[in-house]
Amino acid sequence: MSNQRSTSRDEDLLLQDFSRNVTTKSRALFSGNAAVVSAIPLWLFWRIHQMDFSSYFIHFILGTIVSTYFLNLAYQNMKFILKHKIAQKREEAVNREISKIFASDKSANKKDKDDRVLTRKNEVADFEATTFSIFYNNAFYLVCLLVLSFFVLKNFSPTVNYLFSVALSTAMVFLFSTGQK
Amino acid sequence: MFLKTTLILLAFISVVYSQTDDEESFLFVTKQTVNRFIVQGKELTIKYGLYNSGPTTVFNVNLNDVHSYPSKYYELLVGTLNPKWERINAGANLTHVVVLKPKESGISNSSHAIVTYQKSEKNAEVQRTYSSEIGDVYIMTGREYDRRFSSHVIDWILFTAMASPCIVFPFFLWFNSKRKYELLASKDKATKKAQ
Repeated sequence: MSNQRSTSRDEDLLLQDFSRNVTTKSRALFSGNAAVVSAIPLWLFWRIHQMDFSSYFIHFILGTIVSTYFLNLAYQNMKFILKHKIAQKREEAVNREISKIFASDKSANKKDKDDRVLTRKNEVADFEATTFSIFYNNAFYLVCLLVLSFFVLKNFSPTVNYLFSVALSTAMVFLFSTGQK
Repeated sequence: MFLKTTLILLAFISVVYSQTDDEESFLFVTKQTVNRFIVQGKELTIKYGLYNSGPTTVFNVNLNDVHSYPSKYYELLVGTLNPKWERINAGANLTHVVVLKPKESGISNSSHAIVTYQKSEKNAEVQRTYSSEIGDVYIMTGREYDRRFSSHVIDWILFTAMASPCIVFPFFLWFNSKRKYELLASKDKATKKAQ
């Protein structure tokens, strides 16, 4: 009975490790971040390009929704790719951490220790991949947007400026996140 | 012989008298704007230059440019669009400045200013001349001017303040975790080496 439970637990851990699905907490974190990062440049467009909300309402809503969606996907893609790389790198360190904890506890067996190491490694890799993915994608998106809007498309009309800079920077972030190995 | 001389003398005198037009003065009037950009709701400065070419003084000079800047579209701030001068001496230069404020944006055409003057004090005959014109000008809206030219430093500072938590905070979290585990791994390697 306990064997079956522990095998299914192993399977669950493996599935979690290799699946692309994110937990609800992760999903909320990614969506929230994507929405905030998509909304912040609107303030810049309002103040500097003098695009008032009443006349550009539709453009802003559309642009924000599109960029939120693709940023979200970019976060998930990058996290999935990074998680495995980080997990491999952190294996030794996590081993040492768990050994320290288990050194005082003599009753624990090797199986429990291995389970614990695997879970902890998963957690650490998940956390680091999530935070790095959010940081990197946010920075890349904002830099692209600023360069496109204030240097490349500087002399175009505000509508063209907004739509193209949001579309191109979203596309670049998304394609970059899918392209890495 | 005496008749020939008289006739030649009379001819000379008539030629001299018919050339009086060259001795009369002529007024050149220029009209230009000092502004680089014309913006709705901001000051527009028009400068009129009057130059009396020729050897005589002109009298009762009257410049009229009211028709170019109707009060419906322009607010008069400084100066008058209908100045008068008693006289302008020979070879003298005169400038007159008017400051206006355009009320509407778009393309506007201001035509010539009309200047009337008398060539002599006794002769009431009025000579009319026209100034140069500025032609079609584009008056941009205040919003467009702000968009192109104001410095927006405060806006950028506030944007940086808003955007930095989104970037700095995740970086900080990731970096802390990375450093912690790398330290653990390096300690592990150090103790293994020592062994």
